[in-house]
Amino acid sequence: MGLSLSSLFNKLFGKKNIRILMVGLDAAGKTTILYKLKLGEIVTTIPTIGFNVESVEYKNISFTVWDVGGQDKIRPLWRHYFQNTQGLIFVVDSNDRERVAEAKDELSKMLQEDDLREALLLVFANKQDLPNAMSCADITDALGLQNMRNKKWYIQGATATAGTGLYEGLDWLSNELGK
Amino acid sequence: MADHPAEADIKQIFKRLLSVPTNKQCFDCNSNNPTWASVTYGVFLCIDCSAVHRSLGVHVTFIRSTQLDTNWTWLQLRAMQVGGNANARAFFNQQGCSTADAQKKYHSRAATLYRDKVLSLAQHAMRLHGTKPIFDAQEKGKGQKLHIEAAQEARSPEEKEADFFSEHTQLSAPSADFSTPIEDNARLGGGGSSSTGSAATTAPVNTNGKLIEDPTAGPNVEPALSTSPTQAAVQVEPRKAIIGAKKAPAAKKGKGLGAQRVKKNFTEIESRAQQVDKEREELAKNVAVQEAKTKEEQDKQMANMRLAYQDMSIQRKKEEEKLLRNDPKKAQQFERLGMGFAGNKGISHSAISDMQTIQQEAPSNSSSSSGRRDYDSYGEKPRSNRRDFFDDEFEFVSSWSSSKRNEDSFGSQKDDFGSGGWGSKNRGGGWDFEEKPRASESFSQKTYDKPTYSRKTTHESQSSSSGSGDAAQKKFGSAKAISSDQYFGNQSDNYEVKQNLSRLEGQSSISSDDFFGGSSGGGSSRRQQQSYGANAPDLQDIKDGVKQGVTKVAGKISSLANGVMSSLQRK
Repeated sequence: MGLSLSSLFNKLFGKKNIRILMVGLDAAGKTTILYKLKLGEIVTTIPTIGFNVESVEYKNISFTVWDVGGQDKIRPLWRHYFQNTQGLIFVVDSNDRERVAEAKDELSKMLQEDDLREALLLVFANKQDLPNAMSCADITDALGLQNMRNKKWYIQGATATAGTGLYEGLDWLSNELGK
Repeated sequence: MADHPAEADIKQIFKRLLSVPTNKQCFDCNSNNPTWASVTYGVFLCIDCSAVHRSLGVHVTFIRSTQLDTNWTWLQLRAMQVGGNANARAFFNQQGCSTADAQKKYHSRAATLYRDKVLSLAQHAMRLHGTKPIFDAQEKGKGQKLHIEAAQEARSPEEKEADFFSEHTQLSAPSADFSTPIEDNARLGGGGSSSTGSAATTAPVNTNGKLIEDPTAGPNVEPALSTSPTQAAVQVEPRKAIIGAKKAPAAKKGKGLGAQRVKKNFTEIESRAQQVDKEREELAKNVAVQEAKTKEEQDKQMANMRLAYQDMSIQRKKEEEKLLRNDPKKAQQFERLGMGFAGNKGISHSAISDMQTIQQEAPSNSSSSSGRRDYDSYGEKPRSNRRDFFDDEFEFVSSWSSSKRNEDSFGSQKDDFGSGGWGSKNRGGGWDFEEKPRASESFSQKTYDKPTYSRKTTHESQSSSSGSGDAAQKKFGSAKAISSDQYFGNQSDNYEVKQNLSRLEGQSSISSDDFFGGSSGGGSSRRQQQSYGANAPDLQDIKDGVKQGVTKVAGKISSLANGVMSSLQRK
């Protein structure tokens, strides 16, 4: 009896575990975002070869965030992380106008995967602090999000180095997953 | 961008490039065997320094991996080929920029100059050679030489040398060749010390006639050697055309094997020299034209940038004046509320800056719609300015509109639905603003009262939709975030979808729900929503607040309950 009650409580109020995969082109700021969320500070990151994984507690939810390197040659490895991923964070360098198209290709390629069909898509339009950064709307267009009707997506302008926008993105994730 | 080079090409190019001694050390920290590269400067870096570069942003320096990136473009490869650590270092030293601080170093004037130089050289090489990998060029000139011709020329001395050895008779030809490295430098205008150095080292070697294999030219020698002397001789002939005979031949001649041969070929040589001169002139002209072009481009870009900023400040000022004129009270209020006119267009939008966009928008729309001339007085100029800025970059068809639409009376919109202006891209036809600038001002003031306005606007603008144009920018403009919900929120028609983004402009987020969410379609329902719109933000806030509170309480209760349960279980 007590056991069932406690499990009920846990179900109602306990911590939720959510598996998040964070991908994006190289130098988009994935690792910086991850450690900003985890440590609240900016760490000097070197290009990720392989992956980083951290769990981030936020709003009573434990996000397990996998941050995978974005270099061209290691992008094919992303798919190995797709399974059981509930949320996909796609990080875009808003300042890198030349490679938005590349980002779009990678994103659409990824979203065709079966494993990600149910996953929520959170796009961080990172590096909004830079002078020539594209706005959220620009990036929405550039990534073709407006054509993704059967996908739950959310694009959030962010500046990883200042921490702005990151938790708003997690807010959305937690809201959507709580629904 | 050009089509991508094959992976094998890339590998080969980097193998060659990285075999150059100066490229074997990181440009910034001198650690060994760098595998990363800054395309912008054409230098090779270690992974730690590449990290520093990456943090500077792609507009300053763009980093790629020589091993992990396979989608290099030809232009990028050319940049690496014309660049190289030695050249960059020489240039930086020459410019007196010796700081080790990356921030300073790469924001210095020297850096900017070198960046431009590398770019123009790379483009030049691109233009000349298209997508042929040109390995030989590096070997000889250590990355200085860009041309296939240069490559050929670089090789020809060797062949000639073989020549020289076997038959001493054909001396005039090789001596003519020696001038080519020097000339190359002249042509490139780059005159890196390294290449002149290499040219210099090659020359004496040749004149002495002792050494065939120039160490820097290792790989080249094989083809040279493999060709038989007679073959080489044959090959030499056509190549002569390219070769300029200038100072070098004279110098070498004096030392060498007889004026007699010179005399023999003299007229020939002269004509050749003329030809070469002509060629060089042409090339110089090309280069000049190209430089002019790139300069123009740069100027344009600069102008755009400047315009953008000027624009904003001008508009802000205008805004301010107008506001003061129209309604001094409101202006005061604004100032009191800290929504000052000085708000910059950064991450935090001031209410005014948002309003600006609103008002700008109006003229562009209203100007073409009949009978709404209110805005025209201040409409044309800001509008055109803005266009200047955005059109170049990404086709901003109809520009910032956003929450503006909330304020519009929907009667006019209805008209537009009727008139079928929806699908059209033009700003005029799309929707129109029943323009009461005052109304909108006061409205937005109300809206932005609260610091969290970005969230609110999301919902607010979600409630209103109006359509024309076709891009996300229009709908969401300067939104900080956009969700699918927002985007598709109350849409039913395709053109409305297209229109959606401009609705949510001024927000920091856009979601799919907002976007596609409760599609209701039609002007009437939207009108209802509109009335709701103004309140929605507050409701949302409350909702959020309550949710947070509840989760907090729930968390506490759960831990409490857990404690109780565990203690119960223990008993």
